[in-house]
Order: sequence, then structure tokens, then C-alpha cells
Amino acid sequence: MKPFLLHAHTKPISWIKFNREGDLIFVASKDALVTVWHTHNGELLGSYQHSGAVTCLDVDDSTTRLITACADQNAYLWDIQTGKLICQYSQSTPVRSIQFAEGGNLFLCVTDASYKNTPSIQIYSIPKELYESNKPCEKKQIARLKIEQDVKITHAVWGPLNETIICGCVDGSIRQYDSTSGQCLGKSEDHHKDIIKIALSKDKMLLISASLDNTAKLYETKTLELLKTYKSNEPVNTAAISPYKNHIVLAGGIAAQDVTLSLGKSTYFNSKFFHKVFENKLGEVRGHFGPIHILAFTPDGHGFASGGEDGYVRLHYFDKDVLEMNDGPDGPMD
Amino acid sequence: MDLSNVIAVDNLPITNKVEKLEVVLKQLFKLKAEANCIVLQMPQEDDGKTKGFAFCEFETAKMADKVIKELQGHVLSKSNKLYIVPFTEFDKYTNAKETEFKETPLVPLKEREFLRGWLQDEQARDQFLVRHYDTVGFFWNDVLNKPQLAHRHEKMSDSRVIWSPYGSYAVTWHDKGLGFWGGDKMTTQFSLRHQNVRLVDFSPRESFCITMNENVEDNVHVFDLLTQKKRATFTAPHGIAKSSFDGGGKWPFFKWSHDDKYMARLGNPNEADPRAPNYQDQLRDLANSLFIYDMTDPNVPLFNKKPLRIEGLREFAWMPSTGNKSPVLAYVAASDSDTTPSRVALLELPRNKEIRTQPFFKAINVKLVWSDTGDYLAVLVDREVTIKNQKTEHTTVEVFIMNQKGIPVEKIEFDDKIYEFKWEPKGKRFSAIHGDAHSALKRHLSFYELKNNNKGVCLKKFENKTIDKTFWSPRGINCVVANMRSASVPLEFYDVDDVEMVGLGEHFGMTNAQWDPTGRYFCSYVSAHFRSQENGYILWTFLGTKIDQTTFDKMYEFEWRPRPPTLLTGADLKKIQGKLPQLRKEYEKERSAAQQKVSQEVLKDRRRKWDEFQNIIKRLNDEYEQMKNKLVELRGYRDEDLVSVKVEMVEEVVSREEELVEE
Repeated sequence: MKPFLLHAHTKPISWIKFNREGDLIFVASKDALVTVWHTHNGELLGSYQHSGAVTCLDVDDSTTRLITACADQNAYLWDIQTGKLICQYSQSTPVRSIQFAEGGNLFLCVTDASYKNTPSIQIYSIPKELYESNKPCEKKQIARLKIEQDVKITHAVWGPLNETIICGCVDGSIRQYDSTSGQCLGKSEDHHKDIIKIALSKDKMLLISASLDNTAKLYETKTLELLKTYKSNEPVNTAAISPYKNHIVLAGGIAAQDVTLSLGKSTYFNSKFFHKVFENKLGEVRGHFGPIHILAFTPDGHGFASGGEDGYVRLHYFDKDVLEMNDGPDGPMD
Repeated sequence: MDLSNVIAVDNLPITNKVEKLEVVLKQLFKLKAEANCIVLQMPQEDDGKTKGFAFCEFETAKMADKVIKELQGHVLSKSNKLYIVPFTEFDKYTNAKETEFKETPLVPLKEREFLRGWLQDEQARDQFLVRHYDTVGFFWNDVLNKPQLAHRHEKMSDSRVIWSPYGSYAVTWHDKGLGFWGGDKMTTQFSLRHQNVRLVDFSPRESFCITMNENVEDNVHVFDLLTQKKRATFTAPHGIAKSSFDGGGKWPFFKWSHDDKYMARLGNPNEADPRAPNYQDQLRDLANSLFIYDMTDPNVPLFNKKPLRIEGLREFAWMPSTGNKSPVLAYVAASDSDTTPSRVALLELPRNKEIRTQPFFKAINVKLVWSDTGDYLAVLVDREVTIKNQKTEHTTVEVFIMNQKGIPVEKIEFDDKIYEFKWEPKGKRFSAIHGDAHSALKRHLSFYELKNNNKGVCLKKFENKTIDKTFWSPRGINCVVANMRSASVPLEFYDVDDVEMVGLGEHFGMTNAQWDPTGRYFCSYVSAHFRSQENGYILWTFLGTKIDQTTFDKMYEFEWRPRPPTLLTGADLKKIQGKLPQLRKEYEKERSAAQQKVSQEVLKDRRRKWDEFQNIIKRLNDEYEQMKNKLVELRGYRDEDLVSVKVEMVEEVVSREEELVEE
């Protein structure tokens, strides 16, 4: 399976996202650019210029609106087709992550702490007129709800039916909040180092967390009950659940600033595949020259994309024998 | 009456040759103390035999004093150590009151735990230990079931863990000294006190333990492991303990003879007194002296009471013989002048006799390598040669064949420099990594064998490899060659009977490696002493097949538990070897049965996990189905409405052309 190499970025890739149909892939990078590509041939379709490093993005289900989180202390709403900026949401600290709720009427964004502000998750609603017309909106947008806490939040996602918000924190905890009242509903403390990202399965019933403690863990989303643990031998930056097979993919690597501390560090950074149920490693996919920051399966699960420190996005499609592999209990052991 | 010129001599031999004894004694007094004996009285029994003592009168009291001084404790013969009493003190002894003999209470016998229980394992598995953080795990190397945990101790050691040479004890490091663990449950057996101990070494037969800390003086202690008492204290240059945890190549400070009877060391320049006027002489003496200690004596005296003087002494090595021969020591004595050669000599103890010596001319470096059976001693001689106006180094290997009369020497010339030389354990072969001194990349790997006519024959030379280390299997025949400088260490598995590479592996970041005591498995590992990442180990078979890979965060040591030498005689071993074909069938049967059981258990376990997980998934799916209506409401579309994107390949014939191809 020869991958498509999407190379337009000059700085590390921070986020990738397939649209719902899987025909387009959106890439955010620290070089202040968001690009969009055709997935079937790896051709560049367009880009959205920002004024600071882009940390996260999301696309709505109808592929009309794009939201991006930027280190210039703003969140942005774009029209995908024309590439026009529609709305700007000013914050007082860099925005770490962003996500549309089901239906696309709401989105959340995570902001960092500064000496005046506590780490927070903010929920904005997008009025209908911002979908209907491409006119830039000058009106200052005000958050509908602000959830504040004392520990730095690295990533937050919407739970099933937009009822909850789940976030990962630097103390290794995963916390769940009510999305209307902002009340804390529970937390899990199975990881002992920073959680970098969390990802949900396609039906949002399962959650996987990626942590610097060299593991990824699988949870039941509603109860935050720990189901499985996948052990790597290096920090895990990102993990994803396959929508097609009983597979998990995770990746990471030593952070760039620590590379010099470890002797003769490897030149390979691999995406590692695990069996979802048996927790054993199935294989690795080589390719990146730096730590991998983000992984995503295509919506049909027939392929996946990885983005790394080296500025490349690698778009892989699985071979037939991988797709037809027996992933039940009688399947191959390794 | 003045009796100060009279003495009594006790412990004389009991004999009837009275006159002869008198002559001997008188001569002894004359010779050793210049004393003239005027009267010598030797009481006799009725049968004419002496009673074993004598009274002697001398010309002056001074003479009597001198006799006492010089001859007190003189060894006349093996069982006759003289004991002399001046007559003036005679009253004191006759009037001495007999004090009541008090019996010292018996210390109740403390039963020692059986330390070799692990050897009685039914499947004859080997053990290994792994330390990660401060936890030590002891595992059985079970090839079918993956390593099985036998014992686990948290906070077991402050810095390191090693095995004693026969595997009886696991030794742990603590502030106050060393802990010794063993027995069925791997519990503390005893400890040896030595504040801030850094380095440890054992005598080859596990009778003594030598420890060293960073103190400037009295930093080396020698313990008897049976009594756990300190035998002696020495001073070694304290930089050894400070440099690094392997002593910077200068540890062990003492080298042991194979039978634990002697230990020896080179002179330590710190022993010279810089304030003394003859400081330079002292230094020279120390540099040219070999200190051999007699460990059979509880006081650990120097062999022959003085250091052995060897001009130009550079290096020495004991013969690691396993036979019942006397200890033999080989040493290198270098010479600075062009006319006198450097030499390598073999010294046999306790006769203190040089049994063989061989001169070397123009050597710039001489190294000694014993084969572990003690049958061969290889002397690697580096010489400088000039080729095309360029100076380079060549190595000659001279092999002393110890098991033949006269100890013949076989010379094997290399036309480049040897970087690593290793004997095949229990064999007649050796491996050498050699190459041009100017190129670090092109190294050759050669295997040599000493044929029956003592000729050294090159079996095969593998050219132009980047390698730097050889690991021989403890049973010989197999060896692994690695390039430890590479980030991802390639491992080449060789079979030296067929002289070919049988397997190839790779271990990222490998820092250490060790064969198991049976020579069937090879472990390569990444120690946290040298690398902070990717700590863990890989177990290989001798054919280079990976059988287990485990990662341990902050894993420092992986150590196979050594086995003591076999108690079977050569004949017993032959008998067992004869039965091998039959035994093999039985073993294979057992093994396949066990294998089947394991794979069935694994399958069962997988089914159980699968079923458990499917239950959860089923529940979640039900919940999802219930949510679905709400979800559709929220989203405004159904999943089923999704337009699927299909990519169709269409082939279209643009044009067609025909061309004749000439044959």
C-alpha cells in the first residue's frame, strides 16, 4: 500500500480531519495554513490562510463550514467552498482544540490558562444566518457557556447527543461535564501522565485516550469505565478507533525538544496497530521522520492518515488482505 | 644464683639420636644467634628417647637473650616449632595456677537454606532477573508460555543487582553494604557490611567476595562467603570506584587463580610514600612487582612473604583451568631497550617456577587471552609496520598449547590489526574481528581452528563488515556478531561448525547482550544505565528467531542466573549423549503436547475476552439504537441517506497503432 504524501506544509502538522463522505481531507499546521485535499488522488484543492499556528480544526457534516483553532487567540469560522472568513471568535489565550457538536449549530473550543484566565471550555452557538449567507459577521460573539477548571485542558470533545463534554487534562485525568449546566459528572484517573488527545468511535459509544505515559486506553464514553489498555514503548500523542475492523491505531514519539536527550534517537516514527479486544500489537506502518501528532481513519475505515512533526501527511489505503483479515478470536495471533 | 644465661627449649623432636640432635641444636644456636652453648641437658625416657625438651646454658646472659629473640618460634621441622622459656621465668610457670576451664556456649546451628533449588526444576528451565526502577523480577525462561514470573521484590536494591558466579545468590546494593538473596522464596540470606559499596567481584568458585567503596584508604574488603567474615582489607586507587560502575576497566583489582587459592594484583603506586627520600625507588619497586596472596591462610599473607619482582611487568592473567592442575599464571614483561626482548612467561604456583618463556621483539602492545578450558593461551602482539610510507599496525597471534609436552607455540600472522579476539568456549576455535587500522568501517570477521597438528587454519573470512563485538555461546559452536555503535544494532547469528550465517536480527538501541547458560537462547537488551528510552529485552533462539520481546520502563539489568559446574563425570555425560536420539523423541512429544495445551489455552482466553467485549458492544449498540431518533433530529439527516462516493475506473481506447517487431 503505497501512501499519498501530502506535502504543502513547512511546519509540523497539528490536525487532520476527513469530511463525512471521506472525499476530502483537511489539514491544519503550525505554519498558519489550513489545506484541503482530494483523498482519491492526493491533489491539493485549496487553503485557508491564518495569522498564527493552527492547532485544531473541524468540518461540519454537510461540508459547508470549517472551524479552526488558532494560536493567535482566535477561533475562526470559514466557508469551505469559497474560502471566505465568516466569523471570528476572539479569546484572551491561544485556542487549543475545537469541535462541532452534532448538527453543527454548536461548537466548543478549549482555551489555555494565562495569569488572568483559568483553563476553560467555551461553547458557542452558530446562528442560522451564518450558514445561510457568506457575508462576514462583524458582531462580537459571546460564549453560551464557559466551563472552567484549574488543570490545563489539552483536548475536549462532544459526547453522544451533545449531552456531555469530555476533556483530557495534563494531570492524566479524563473529565466529563454536562454540556448545558457545565456541571462535572465524573472523572477517570487511570493515566499517570498528560493526556494529549482523546478520540471517539464513529457511534461515539467508545472513547480512546492517548497519553504521555506510553499507553492508550479504551473507555466506555458514558460511564468512563476503563475497558482496555494498549501499551507502546514511547509517548503516545494520538490514537484512533477503526470504524471497520476491531483495530486501534496509535502513534507518537519523543517530543522534538527531548530528542537530543536520548542517545542516537531513531530515524523512524511508526503508526502502531493493535487489536481492539486482545490488546496485542498487530503491526507497524513506517514513514515519518519526526513524532506523529495526529491520526485519523477514513470514515469508511478503509484507510487512515497520519500527520507529523516533519510537515507531511501520509494517506494510506489498506491492502485487501488487511481489510479481509479475520479479526475475531480465531484469527491469527500476531 | 643467676640463671639468666639458662634457657629451656620445648617442642623438640622425640628421638633416640640424642647426640645428633645436640649437634644440630648447638649449630643452630651458633649460626642464628652466635651463641656458645656450654651445657646442653636433654632428659631422656627409659628407652633412650628424648622427652622433647632441653636445658641449655650459655656463656653469657646476653647470648641467651639473643637465642630467645632469634629462635623463638623457629621451625625446626614441620611439626616442631621451637618454644623457648628463659630459666628466670621458670618459677612463674611452675607456680601458675590452673584456672578452671570454662566451656564456651555453643552457638546454635543456623540451618542454611538450600541454595540450588532452582536447578531441580522439572522442565530444567533457566532463570533470569530483571530490575526496573527499584523492583526486581525473577523469571523462568519458559519458551512455550513466555517468561513466567517466579518472584518479585519491590524496593529490593538501591543501585544494582547481579548473580554470584554459581548462581547461589542474587546480590543487591545498599548504602550499608550488600544483600545476599537466595533459597526457594528468594529471601535475604545474609548481608555484608561495607558503607557505600560501589564495586563487587567474586572468586571463581564463589568462596570469596571482594567489595570496594570510594574511600581513599582501606577501600577494598575481602569477605569469606561461607563465614561471612571479613578476611582482609586493602587500599586500591579510589579513582577506580569513582570512574564508572565497571571500574573504568581497572576492576576487578584482584585476579583469582581458578581454584580460589591465590589472588594477585599489580603494584599500586599510591602505596609509595611521597615524603620518603627513596620515593622514586619505591615507585619503581611497585611498578615491577606482582603481589600474590595466599588465600588458604586465614591471615591472607603474601605468597613467599614478599611481592614477586618482575622487571617490566605490564599485565598478567591466571589460567582459568578446570582440571586439578596447579595454578598457572601468565605475565607480560616489557622491555624498553631494543636489544632485550619483551617476554611472556608462565609461572606455576606454589612451586614458583617459570615453566615456559617466550621472547617478543619490537612489540608495541602485548595482550593475553586464555581459552576458558586453559588449554590455550593466545598472545596478541601488535607491531608497527610501514607500508607505502604509511605507518600501520599488524597483529600476530601466538598460541601456547598448554596440553602438550613442552608447551609448543603456534604463530598465526594477520596482515592487519585485531580489534577483538575471542576463544570459543570449550573449543579449539577462535574468532577475530580485524581490519585496517586506518579505516573504521571495513572490518573482517575470521574464524580459525587449531587442528590436531597444532596448525592454526582459517576456516572462513567474512570481509568488509561493520561489526565490533562477538558473543560466543557458552557451549561454543554458535556465536552472535553485532555492531554496538549503530543506533539500531544488527545481530548476525553464526554456526561455526558449518561456518555460515544462520540468522539475522535487529534490535533498536541495544546496549547489552547475554547468552543463557545453556547456549540455546540469546538475550539482547536496552539498559537504562545507557539509554533512557526503549528499555526492554528481546529473547532469541541460537538461530536468530525472536521468541519474546518485552518492554520494561527504566529496566537497568537483565541477568541470566549462572549454573554451577556440572557434577556429572565425562563418562556420565557420554552416556547421556548416547541416549539423545531416543530422549529427543520423548521430549518432542512432551513439547508438542505442551504446545497444543498452550495454544488451546490462549484460544480459550481469547474467546473469553471476545465474548466479554461483545457483550459490552451489544449493550452499547442497543443504547445507540435508542439514541438514533434523537440523533437524526439533531443532525437533520439519516446515516442511510448518505451518498456514497464511488470511484470508477474507466478505460478508454484513445488510438490504436500496429507495429512490426523485427526478430
